[in-house]
Amino acid sequence: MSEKNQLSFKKVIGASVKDMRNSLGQVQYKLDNMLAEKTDAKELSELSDAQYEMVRMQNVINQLHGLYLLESDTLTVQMLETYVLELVEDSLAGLETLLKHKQIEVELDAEDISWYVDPHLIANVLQIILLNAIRYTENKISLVLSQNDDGLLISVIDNGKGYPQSVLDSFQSLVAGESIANVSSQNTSWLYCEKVALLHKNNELKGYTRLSNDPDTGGGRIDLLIP
Amino acid sequence: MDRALFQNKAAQNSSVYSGLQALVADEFENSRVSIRQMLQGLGIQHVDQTSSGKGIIDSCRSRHYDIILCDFRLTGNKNGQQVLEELRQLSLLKPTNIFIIVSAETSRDVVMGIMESQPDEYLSKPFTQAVLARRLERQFHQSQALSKMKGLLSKKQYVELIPECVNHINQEGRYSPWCKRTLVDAYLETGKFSMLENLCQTELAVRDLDWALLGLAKMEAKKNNPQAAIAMLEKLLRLFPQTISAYDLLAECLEKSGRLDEAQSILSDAIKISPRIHKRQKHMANVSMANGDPQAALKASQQTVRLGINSIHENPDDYIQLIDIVSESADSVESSVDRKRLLSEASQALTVISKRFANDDTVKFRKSLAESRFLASQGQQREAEKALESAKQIASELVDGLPQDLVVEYGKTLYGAGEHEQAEIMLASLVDDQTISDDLKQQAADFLDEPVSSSAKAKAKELNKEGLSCYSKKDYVVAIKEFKTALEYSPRHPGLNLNLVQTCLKLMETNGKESHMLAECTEALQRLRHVTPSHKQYKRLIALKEYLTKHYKVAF
Repeated sequence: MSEKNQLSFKKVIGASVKDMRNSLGQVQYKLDNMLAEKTDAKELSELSDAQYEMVRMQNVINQLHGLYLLESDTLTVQMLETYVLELVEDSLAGLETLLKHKQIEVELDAEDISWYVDPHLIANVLQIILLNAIRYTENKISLVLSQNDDGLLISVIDNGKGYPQSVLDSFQSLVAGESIANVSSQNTSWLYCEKVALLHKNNELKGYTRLSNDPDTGGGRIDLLIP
Repeated sequence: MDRALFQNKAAQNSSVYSGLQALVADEFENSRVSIRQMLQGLGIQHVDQTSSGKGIIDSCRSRHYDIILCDFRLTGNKNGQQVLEELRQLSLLKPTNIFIIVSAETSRDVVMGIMESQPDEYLSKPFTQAVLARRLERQFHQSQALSKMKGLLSKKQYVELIPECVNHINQEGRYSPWCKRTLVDAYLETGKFSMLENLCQTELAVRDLDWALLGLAKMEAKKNNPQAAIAMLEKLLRLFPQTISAYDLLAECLEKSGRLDEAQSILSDAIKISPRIHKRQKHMANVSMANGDPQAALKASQQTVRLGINSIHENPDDYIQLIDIVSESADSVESSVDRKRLLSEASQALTVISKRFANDDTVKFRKSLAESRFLASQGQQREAEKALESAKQIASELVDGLPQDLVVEYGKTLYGAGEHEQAEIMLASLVDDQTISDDLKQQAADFLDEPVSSSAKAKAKELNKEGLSCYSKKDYVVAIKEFKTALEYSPRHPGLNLNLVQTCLKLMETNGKESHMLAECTEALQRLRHVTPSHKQYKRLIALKEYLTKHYKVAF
C-alpha cells in the first residue's frame, strides 16, 4: 500500500469510528429511556440484553481503534493526576442500568487516592475489565483499589466459574508478546489493556495486567498495576 | 454495593441545578436533543441549543451560561476549539463557568488540539446521563473550591494566588494537584525560582512527573540558561514523549542557542503529534525559513493561514509571510501545475488581506509592499515598481508617518524592486539608530549582509562550512574555491568574504605575493562597504585590512 493510501485509510478509520460512536450514543440513549419506562420483566430483560450487546460493541470499537492507533504510533497519551476512584465510579455509572437489570452486585473496596495516569485510556481499560467480569460473573463483582510498593493496584474479581487453564495460558503468551493461535475479541481486549498498562511508567517501573482465578471466589480475577 | 453511586443524581441535585442556564451545541440535531434532555433530566430547566460556533458566541453575548456543552464539530466555519478560544478572548466566560468539549473524535490531531485549548472537561461520546451527571457534579465541586484561585489566575494576580494555593495544599485539599501545577506558573511569573525548584524537586523525589520537569525547564529558560533547559527537556521527552509544550520550549531554546536545524526537527516532531495549533505552525514557518528550507516553511505557513481563518489568530502577518515564502519557493517547484496553484494561492492571499483588513492603512501599505516583492520575484519588474509606488503613496498619507517596525520590510521591498541604493541608505540608518529595538536592528543588518533568498543563504552556509573544513586541513586552494562559489550565492556576506581574504593571505604566506590573490582580497573587501563599526565582524575586517596594508602595501 502506498503512503498516500495509508493516510487516507487512517482518515477513513477515524471518520468511521466517529460515526459509529455518534450512532451508538443515540442507541444507548434510546435504550436507557426505554429501560426507564418499561416495567414488564420480560421486556426489561430483553432490552437489557440489547444494551449489553451495545456496550460490548462500543468496547470492541474502542479497543480496535485503540490498537490501531497504538500500532500506527498515533495514540494520544496525556498523563494527569487523577482520582482513580472517580474513574471507577464513572465506569460503574455508565454500566448502571446493565448491572441493575442483570442483578449483579458490585462491591467496592477502594482508597480515594490521586494517581498519575491517562484518565481516558484507563477509563477504556476499566470498561473492558468490568464488562468482562459482567460476562463471567455469577452475581457479584468485587473491585479493589489499593496502593502497594510498586504502585496502584486495581483488581476486579468475579464469582463465576473461573477461567480454564487454556485461557490463562493464552493470556500468559499474550502479555509475553508471543503469537496467539486463536485471535478472539477477548484476546484483543486483553492485549489492549496490557498495552495501555505498559504506557504507564515510573522510576524504571512499567505497568502490567495479570489474569488469574481468585482463590476465594473461584471466579476470574484481573489485576492492573499502574506504577 | 455503594447505593449512592447508582442513585439518579437528578433528584438530589435538582435544587442545585434548577437555577442554572445551559447551552448545548452540536452539529447533529438528535445529539443536541438527547444531551438537552439529559440536562433537563438532571433538573436544569433552561437549556438552549445551537448548531454553529457563531450561534454559541451570539448566545453567550445575550445570555450568561453556567454550563456549555460543545461538540468539537459544529456547522459553519468554527470548531469547538476555536469557539472556546474566542469566548475567552471576548471575556464571555467567567472562571467559574464550565465549558465541556464533547466529541466522538479519536484522531490524535483533533484530541490534542482540544486538550491544548484546555476546556474544563473533555467528554468523549457516547456517554450516559449518569456519567454526565457525575462529571457535572465534579466540575461544580471543583469550580466552587477553586473559584477564588481561578479568579486570581485569570487576572494574573500571582502574588495573591500563591498563598491560596499553598494553603489548599497544606490542608491536603482535593485539588492539590491543580494547585501545584498552578504554583509552578505563579512562581515562574513572580521570579520565585528557589520556591519553584523546591516544589518540583520534592514532587520528583516521589515520582516522575511531566509538569515538574517542565517547570524546572521553564525556570532554566527564564534564567537564560538554555543549555540546562535543553537537557531537562530532553530528559522529560524521553520519559513523557507526548508532553507537547515541552517540544515548543525545546525548539525555542535550541533556536536561541543557534541550533536551528535541531529546532526545526523538534518542531516537526511536535507537529506530528499536534498540528492544529496556530502558534506552533507559525514557529515552524519562521524556523524553517531561517534554515533555508522554503518547502517546509511553505507547508507550515499554509497551515498557519488555514488555522487562522475563522479564529482569533487570524492576522495580516500570516498572509504576508505566505506570499513571501511563495515568492521564494515557487521557482523550485518542479511541476508547472503545482507552481501555478502556488502562485494563485499567493494572489488569493493578497486579495484576502485587502478584504479582511480593509480599514487598516498600515496593512494596506504592507500588502502593496508584499505584492511588489511577489511581482519582483516573478520577474514582473514593471508591475513590482507600480505596486511599490502605490505603497509609497499610502505611506505618505499615513497620519503618524511610517511605523518604525515596517522600515525593514520597506527596505527589503525597495531592494527587490531594484532601488538598491535607497534601500541600503534606509537600512543602514536603522543599524546605527540607537532608538530602535535590537531585534529590528539585527533584521536590518542581516538583510544588508545577505539580501538573497533563504535557499541561497542555506547554500552559501553549506559551502562556507566546507570551505572552513578545507581551511582547517590547510587545503587553502580548495577552500578558496569553496568560498568563491559560496559568494556567488551570497556576495555581501561579511564572514564569507573575510574567510576568503584570510585564506588568500594564508596561501600567500607559503607561495609568496600573488597579484591575483591580492585582487581577490580587495574585491572581497569592497563588497563589505556596508559593514559599520557596530557590526560584529568589524574588528576582524579592520585587522585584515591593516595586515594587507602592512605586508602588501595595499591602500584602502
